[in-house]
Amino acid sequence: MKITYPPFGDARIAIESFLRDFGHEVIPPPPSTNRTLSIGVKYAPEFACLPLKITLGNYIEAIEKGADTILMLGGIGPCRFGYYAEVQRRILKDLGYDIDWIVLDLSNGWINLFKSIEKVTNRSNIIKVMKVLRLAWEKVLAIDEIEKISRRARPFERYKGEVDNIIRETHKRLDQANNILKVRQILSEYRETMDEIIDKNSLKDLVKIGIVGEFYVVLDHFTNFEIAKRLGELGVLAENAFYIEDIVRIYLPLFRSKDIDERTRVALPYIRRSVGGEGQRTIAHTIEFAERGFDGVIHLSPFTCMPEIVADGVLEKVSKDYNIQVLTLSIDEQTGLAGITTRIEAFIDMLKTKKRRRIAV
Amino acid sequence: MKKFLGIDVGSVSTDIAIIDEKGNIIIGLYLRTAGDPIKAVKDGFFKIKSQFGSDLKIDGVGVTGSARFLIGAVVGADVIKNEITAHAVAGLHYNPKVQTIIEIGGQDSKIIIIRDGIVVDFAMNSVCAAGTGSFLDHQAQRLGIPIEEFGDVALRAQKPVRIAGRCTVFAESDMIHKQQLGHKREDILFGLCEALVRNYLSNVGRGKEILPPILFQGGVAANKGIKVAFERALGTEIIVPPYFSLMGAIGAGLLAQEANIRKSNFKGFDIVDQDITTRGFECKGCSNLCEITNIFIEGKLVARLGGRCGKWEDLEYNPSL
Ligand code: SF4
Ligand code: SF4
Repeated sequence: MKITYPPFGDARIAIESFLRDFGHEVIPPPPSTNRTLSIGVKYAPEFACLPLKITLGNYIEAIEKGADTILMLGGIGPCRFGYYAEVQRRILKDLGYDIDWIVLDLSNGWINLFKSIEKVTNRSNIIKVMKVLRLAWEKVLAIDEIEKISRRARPFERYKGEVDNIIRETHKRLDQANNILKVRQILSEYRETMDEIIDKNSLKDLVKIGIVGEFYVVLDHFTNFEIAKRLGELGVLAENAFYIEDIVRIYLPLFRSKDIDERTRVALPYIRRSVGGEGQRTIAHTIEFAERGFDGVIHLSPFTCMPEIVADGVLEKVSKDYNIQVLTLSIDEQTGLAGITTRIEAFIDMLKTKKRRRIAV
Repeated sequence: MKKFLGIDVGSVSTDIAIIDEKGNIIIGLYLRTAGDPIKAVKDGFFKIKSQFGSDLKIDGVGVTGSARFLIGAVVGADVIKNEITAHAVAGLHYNPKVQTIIEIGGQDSKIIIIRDGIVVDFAMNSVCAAGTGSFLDHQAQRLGIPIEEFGDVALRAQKPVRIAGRCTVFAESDMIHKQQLGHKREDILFGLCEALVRNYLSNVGRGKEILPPILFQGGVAANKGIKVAFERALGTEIIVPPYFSLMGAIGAGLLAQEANIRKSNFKGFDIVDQDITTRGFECKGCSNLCEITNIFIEGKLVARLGGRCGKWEDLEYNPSL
């Protein structure tokens, strides 16, 4: 069994780590490129949402490298995410690929779920399972921490790409780390290196932007045109509304924490019921950033994504009510980098001028 | 008197303006980009050179537009800025009280909302052609009317025809249909103006508080039919600045002035006589596979664009690939 998985952002490091530790041969999907996207676009239904297209491309590229099994989540409604596995399975089958799927389907009863879990864990005993999960979780936390710190460091880079070089090295080491202590040590060394770059006194003067939206687009660097990096290079402090840990807590019942619903509550006056995906959370997160005194919010929305379209519909009101600037970037396969760059730059120019004026008054 | 050069390089047109330190226009040029922005800029520089001689001193250069990074590197820009900021700066310079800027160019359209002299909101549309100049060009051609006369003819409309359709394809088929029904040409033309304005207001202008004074900038502002259609739809006066099609370039020039540069990077107008070439390649350094563009002047590498990491910015870096 040569297993692959749907990558998003840096989560791949943690996913690979636990698959490997359960003794699987892992074929990681090659990092997403425009080729990945064109493959996905070619074979997916036109109106499918962007994450489905890109992950389909990822699978096909992994299959080209020898993968024969795909691990995926399923059954998480009510948006289309719940059907991804099924839709993608049919497409791959029609293309003539003979692929096994391990779908952790959370709506299909415990017995089926248990069978899938058994396949993933390779029938390891419970102690081993706990140990492997613990390490993977530690890696998730480390990946998130690395990302969070990088946001504070990029505006102060001494040369372009400095932070990325350090992250690349750190990720490599993290990938190899085989115990929790090692992970923590790598993280603290990373923190020290970054501390040298970060100019703590100037941090508070930076324009602050919160990033909200659909989880895949927010977390996958390729899909969002490396927005965090671009903002950092433009001298902006960009914080996400959530990182990988939060997504695991939201979508995997085993890890689910109560805070999530609590955190979403502020959105209720605008969107009463869950509309799937991050729809409601997008509103809640925007309000959160406004209350924390951020200068602006960038909303990332995959074109044709229903939950985000709903959110977009009320964001204007939220933006007025809470006096926060929101820039919505709708992203699909036709989105050009030039258009995104222009919008982001203009948005930042605007926020910087405003901030300067506020300080002057 | 100090002089500043502003260049706006879009996919359809390339506009060049030289302004003095008060923002007065010394020369303004409008050129077709025709897929080759370097040639367009060279053509413009050639005209400037033949009018002023090559020792015209420039104290700062600003570049905007979709090819701003390329042209910025070629001419030696001091400031490289996005089109929205450039248009806002130019609009504010022309009318410090402006609250709304409508900009419609050949390939895209924008709205900029300004309050108390600063930009507070904006939107931009580059996907849908139904709200841009190329749509009008196309329809004028179809109806056999030179685009320059489009506006004047449209204003003669007595009974404007309502052209339905939110996108180019529908609008076009509806227009053909109305033509077959025997509607007058001017009525159809004004109908097209109204359709464009409707599209603009419901797309780009959606949810924006459009308050006067309103400036109408960009190439399409030449079309009086559109101006009137906007005035009717919004029920207020629309101001078209005298240099409406050069506002991006003027804004770029003003930004160069504001930047207070001590010594400009400008390479001079003599680059028209130089051999400027670009050569692209795909960097295989990592999975980003960036398209790197090398820019050569007289065979010498002067700039590199397109790398997401910094490694190609060092011009010395030259691994034997
Ligand atoms: S949230 Fe949107 S983009 Fe994500 S799976 Fe659901 S519909 Fe698709
Ligand atoms: S230029 Fe840098 S980021 Fe781009 S492909 Fe080469 S190494 Fe990767």
